[in-house]
Amino acid sequence: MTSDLSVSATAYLHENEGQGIWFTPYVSPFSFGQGGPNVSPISVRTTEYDMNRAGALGSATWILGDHTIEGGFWYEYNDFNQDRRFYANTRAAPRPTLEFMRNPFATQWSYAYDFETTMFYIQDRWDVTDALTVSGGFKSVTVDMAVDTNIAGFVAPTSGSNADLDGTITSEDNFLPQIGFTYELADNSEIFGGYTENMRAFTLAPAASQTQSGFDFIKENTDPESSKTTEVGWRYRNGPFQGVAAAYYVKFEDRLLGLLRARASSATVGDQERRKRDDQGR
Amino acid sequence: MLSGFHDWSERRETDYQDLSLEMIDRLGYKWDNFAPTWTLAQQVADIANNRGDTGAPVTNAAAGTIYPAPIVSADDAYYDASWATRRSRLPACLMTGM
Repeated sequence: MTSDLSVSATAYLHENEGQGIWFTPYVSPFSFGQGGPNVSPISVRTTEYDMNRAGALGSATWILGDHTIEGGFWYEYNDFNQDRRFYANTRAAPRPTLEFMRNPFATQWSYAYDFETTMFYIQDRWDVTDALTVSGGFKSVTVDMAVDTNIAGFVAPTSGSNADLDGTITSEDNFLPQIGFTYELADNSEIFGGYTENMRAFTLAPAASQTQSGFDFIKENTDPESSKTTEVGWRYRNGPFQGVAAAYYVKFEDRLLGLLRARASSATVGDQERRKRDDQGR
Repeated sequence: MLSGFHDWSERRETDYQDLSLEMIDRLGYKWDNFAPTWTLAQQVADIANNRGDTGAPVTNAAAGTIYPAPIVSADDAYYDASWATRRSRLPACLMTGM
């Protein structure tokens, strides 16, 4: 390899587990055939999640005259689970409140999610003159979220029933462009501008507290939220003073709003415009 | 060049009981969940079950049906509630070449 070409690769794992707990008198082990003379009527209700994700990032940069060309990718597989469980206590002593709860006597609901994220990008930074730099590129993003129901309403749902939510929802945009420039007016003064398109991939929301028919409806009738951002501004530095004055215009499309009716659902509520001018100095 | 990283965090917390204005007037600003007093928490749960306030089965009728003052409800305090534990581990390795 020559000094004009450099490459970088990163691999990672991430495990994250958490439990929110509530010592509740409302759900008793005795209601689940788990009673006994030493069993407390108070159980621990958890809302718990367990995430295991693995990913890799790679990029290559090639300097060619006034151009710096970079391309890369990101891949991630995320195995995510969310559960509502109940754990018994004895009359003699409660479970330690700051330790993970294990060995539940009941599970109210349990959902398994898999997120697969694939992203590619390519960009070019062109130093047109000493003062002017122009950059441009695009990314392609795909996020597949698969959901599978383990438990709903304290039982494993009948396979193929409406309670047996099982499916995949995809967020995809293969061309999300970004262009920008900086122009140096003086050593301590610069103007900048840019235009960016972006997409927010679906998260758990389309599958949360859903039936198969609710999930299918959301999948059929909604699109991922997206945005188009234009901004221009001026940066200035003088001794201890740094300041920036910028204006931006964002056009959002397919904004999603969660609604609570007889059951939860998401609806596309249309487009939104946002304009603002920021002036700050410090 | 090869670099390795390992990020690790563990968080444990106990939350305060939510208080309404009526609860503050009746129970005081310092009112909180029962922990570490397990016996009182179970006494209130037994009484709540005996009264039919929770819908859970009666398992200790001897506890009676009268809450110890100043408690008037199964929701005045619980034994404990929290975001008990969150644990995160993130190992990564980075390789760069020129």
